Amino acid sequence: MTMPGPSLAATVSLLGLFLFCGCGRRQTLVEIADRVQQYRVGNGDEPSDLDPQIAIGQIEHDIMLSLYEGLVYGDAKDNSPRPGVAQSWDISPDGLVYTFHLRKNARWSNGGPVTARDFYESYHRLLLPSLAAQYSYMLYPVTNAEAFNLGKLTNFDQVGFKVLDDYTLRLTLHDPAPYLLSMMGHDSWYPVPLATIKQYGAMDDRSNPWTRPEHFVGNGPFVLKEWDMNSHILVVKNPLYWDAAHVRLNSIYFGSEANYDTEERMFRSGQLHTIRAAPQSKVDFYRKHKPELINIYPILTTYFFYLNVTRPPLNDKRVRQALAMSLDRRAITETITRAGEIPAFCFTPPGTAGFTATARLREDPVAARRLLAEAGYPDGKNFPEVTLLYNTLQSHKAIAEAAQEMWRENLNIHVTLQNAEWKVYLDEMQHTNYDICRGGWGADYVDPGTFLDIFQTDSGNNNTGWSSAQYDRLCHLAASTGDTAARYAAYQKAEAILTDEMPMIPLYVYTNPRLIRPDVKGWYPNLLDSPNYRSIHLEPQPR
Amino acid sequence: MPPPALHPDEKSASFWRDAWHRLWQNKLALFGLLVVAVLSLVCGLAAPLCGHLIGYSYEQQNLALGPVPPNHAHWLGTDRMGRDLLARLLYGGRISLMVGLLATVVSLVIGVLYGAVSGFAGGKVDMALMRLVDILYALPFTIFVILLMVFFGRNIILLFVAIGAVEWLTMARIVRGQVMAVKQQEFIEAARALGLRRRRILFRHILPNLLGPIIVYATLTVPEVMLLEAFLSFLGLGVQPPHSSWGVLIKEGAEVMEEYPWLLTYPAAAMALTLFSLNFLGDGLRDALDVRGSKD
Amino acid sequence: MIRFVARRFLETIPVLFILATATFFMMRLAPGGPFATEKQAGREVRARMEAHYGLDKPLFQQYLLQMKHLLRGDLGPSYKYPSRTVNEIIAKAFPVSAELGLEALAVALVLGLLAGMVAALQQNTFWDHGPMSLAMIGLCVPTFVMGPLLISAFALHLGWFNAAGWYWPRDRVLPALTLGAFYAAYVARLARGGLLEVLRQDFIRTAQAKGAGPSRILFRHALRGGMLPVVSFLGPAIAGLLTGSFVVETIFGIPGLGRFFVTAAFNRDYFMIMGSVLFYAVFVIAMNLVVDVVLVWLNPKLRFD
Repeated sequence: MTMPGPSLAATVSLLGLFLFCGCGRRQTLVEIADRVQQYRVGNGDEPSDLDPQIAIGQIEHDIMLSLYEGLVYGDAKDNSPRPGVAQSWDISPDGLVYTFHLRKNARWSNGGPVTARDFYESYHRLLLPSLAAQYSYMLYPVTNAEAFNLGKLTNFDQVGFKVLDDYTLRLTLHDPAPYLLSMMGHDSWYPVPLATIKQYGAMDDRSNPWTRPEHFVGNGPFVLKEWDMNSHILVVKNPLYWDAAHVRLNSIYFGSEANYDTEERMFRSGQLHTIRAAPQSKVDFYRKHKPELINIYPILTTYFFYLNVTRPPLNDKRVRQALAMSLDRRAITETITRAGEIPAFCFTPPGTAGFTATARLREDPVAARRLLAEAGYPDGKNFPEVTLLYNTLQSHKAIAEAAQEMWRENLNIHVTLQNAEWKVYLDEMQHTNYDICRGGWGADYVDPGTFLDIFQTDSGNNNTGWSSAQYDRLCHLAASTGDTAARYAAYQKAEAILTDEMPMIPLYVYTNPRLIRPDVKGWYPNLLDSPNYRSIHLEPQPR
Repeated sequence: MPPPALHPDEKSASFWRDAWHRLWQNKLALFGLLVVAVLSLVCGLAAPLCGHLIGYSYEQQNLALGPVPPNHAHWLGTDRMGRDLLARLLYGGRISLMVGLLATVVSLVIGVLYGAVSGFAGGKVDMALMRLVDILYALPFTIFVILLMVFFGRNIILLFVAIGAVEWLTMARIVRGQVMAVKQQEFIEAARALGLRRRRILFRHILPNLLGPIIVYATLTVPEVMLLEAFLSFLGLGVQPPHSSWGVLIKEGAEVMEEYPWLLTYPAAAMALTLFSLNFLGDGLRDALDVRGSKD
Repeated sequence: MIRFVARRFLETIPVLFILATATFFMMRLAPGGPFATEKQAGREVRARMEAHYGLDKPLFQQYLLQMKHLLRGDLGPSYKYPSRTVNEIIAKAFPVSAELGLEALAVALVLGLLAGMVAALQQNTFWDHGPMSLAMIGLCVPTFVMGPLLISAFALHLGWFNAAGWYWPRDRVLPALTLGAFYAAYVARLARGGLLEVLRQDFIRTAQAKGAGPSRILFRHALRGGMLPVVSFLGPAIAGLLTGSFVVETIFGIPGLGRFFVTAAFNRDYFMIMGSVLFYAVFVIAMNLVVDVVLVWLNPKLRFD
């Protein structure tokens, strides 16, 4: 039985350094790793896969950022699109045609060049109906992509991708999408090595083992070296990456401990450079006593409550407004979550790509009581039994308990709390089988559309049963024009409808309390919480 | 001529007196009994105590206050939502003890009946019944509980049923073993020779002799149940807010053990004390009733 | 004895069959499927995914398919980890759990037997109540409290160990202690009880009368009988120990079977659940068999009946 652990070479070099540095004071893993430029990350749960067209989720995303590179990649500080495999691009005046010029020295890790045809075939695979890729909708701005993905079209040549030559790729959109380049930083736009995939199985076989370390091929700054389930993933620098000269890390260790408390202990004992988020109960402690180790920054995710508008009493919008207006968001963020979250009074986080909603929800318990009385429940009398559903997590529980108490105090109504295990929670939420349900929505790319689109009638993520023809019209309008002023005007009206109709109660905009050591340089907080491993490097700190 | 064998009922009378005498001499067991009795009383009176003596309820939040160490206003301190820990401890104890007791009763009723029937019947019936127990032993408890939690809503009664449904297996095994051992004894053969009906033999002669092991294992099942409830809380499948149990309090306390140690110390101490006492009591009962501990 | 073992073997097959059937239907009854995610893809995409994995077929047909797979020894693919098979996951995770389990068992046996023996020999004195009370700590402190306490003291403050991970031999110490403490307590009590019972018996007095020294009595005569309840208890306990403890594996970041099994239940990873259940069942049954054989060897008065 082999002992799981870092590769032999790394082990030998680590041990060598260990002995060289003397047996005096015990070195922490992080100190050793600093010297060999190994970035040690607590990545949370075991990734389900490392195929960018099958894997979804932040855990996989953070690893795949090191293994692949798309036409563009997100800047480390502000997520803006930077030239990746594409060294430049032209956009037609009407915003419908994008022509990408690929650099000639981009390589796969097995030596072959990365060509326009590689991208073409990758997008073909992503849109194949039989692959059932969950993020295929990211490609829908492209002409006929949706039709092909739904099986209505069978000839991929009719989809708006065209290979003009080995290093030129053209995309044709059906409507202008000013956010397209931002979208293209997402995993679904990465190229995948089709030749390698076909070697180990069918192109649309989801269980194709091509991502195993012994088979893996990618075009990113790093290459997959080790993958021990529930233990760790190790990636090492890819010498064939076109910009390898500027990549300073030698390897990245991603630990797969699923538990926040365990990760935090590992961080404290010097085994990790960073973990994604400190457990909620410890944020205060770090802020007060070890501020140099914690970095709290806003991210583009809203925390809110879905309201089932098909069930009484929530089918009356006065009741919904009353519930929304009688919560004290500042109390929640300052005394419960305590990580500097920003109270939210609208759905889209303020400042998303320069968009800030002017329609705002007002916190006003007196007015809330009046609305409740108007709706037929003066002082909460005869208010039916209502349940608040949330998934099992200490932080959700604490917020739910606070909300329950606030509603009791301000409106004199009794809300029952119900926690459900994750899958049950998802099932209930997605079948609109709840009264009030906790929810969170994070941006896939930086644009208000990624938020507001979900409350359209036919959106698979609406979950509330709410429908407004006018809202749908506004969203379609915003999606069909390239004029940012017109788009944002439409979105303002959409937010106003949401604030009036209240199919959901916004609570706060997330912040992420990341624990990260001062040894780590070149890491910057950004709204999508997307690290850029090209710029990160380690500087041993004086002890 | 050998002296006449004691009639089983006669045997019981002095047997119980002897047992009580032995128990009385076991200081640890008595201590256990006392502690359990006191704790049950105090937790049972949680409501009036909270109202009159302590002044806070278990659900009253004080977000502005936050967690504070024990002081004269809050004798055991407060938790992260400003709720009084002592009040939550008492109410939580009430629930934990109730869960322990009721789940044990459930497991007792099912287990004793099942094991007695199986042991008494013997032969193929016994084999079939015990194989069923083997199967149930190997069922995944987590999934079973998730299912129960989902189907029947999330109330505490259900928690008892779920836990009791798992614990009866051991009780059944033990009872069956005891029944088989007793079955072979002389007085049973005598009863059978006398022509007594089987059901009469089972209920009037065998079961009373099981009382010893049943009491002992029931006492020892309660701590197991309480720990199981704590495990369920660790998974998030236990008692729901704003109610609490010691399992939930301990889990929450363990998460903040370095920053707010009192949130772990007091609930853990309460639970440990109870478990200690129950275990010592059970051991003492086992010594007193001279019960052998083995699978069959 | 051969007949006994063979008969057990045959009896096991219907047991496993019923277990597989019960597990199958129980899993499917639980709400939520393996593919529900927070951000939903469109209905058509989800439908295609279910079709890809055959989840859109009628339930009974899926059941028959599953049974066919099982007969071939193929435990199926994992839904949560698409490029892995259940056989592969269990094959990688089981040795880890087994190693942890054996180390915990060693802790339990060494500490438990020691405490139990001392307590039995010094019944009702300080050396009885003392070790027994200490052993109680193992029974009364849940693992999810003991683990972080040990880590806090020995890893974070004293710096002797890593806080989590399963790489170096040193990483085994704290998890083995945490997991073994509970069983050590049980072993101590059972050993004490068993020994006391044996020591009371006539043949011990005979040996004493014949002039045998205390250690000879203990090790040659008493221990064998005294081990009876310990062995009885350890059978199913070993099965549980070796197939992994979710709590300990989570706290110490150990890539064992316990974590996979519980997360499979939470992920509705159907094949993984079934595979784990059956694997665990086979283990429990095998351990019970071994225990029964050992019991007869320890106590010739029992018979295989």
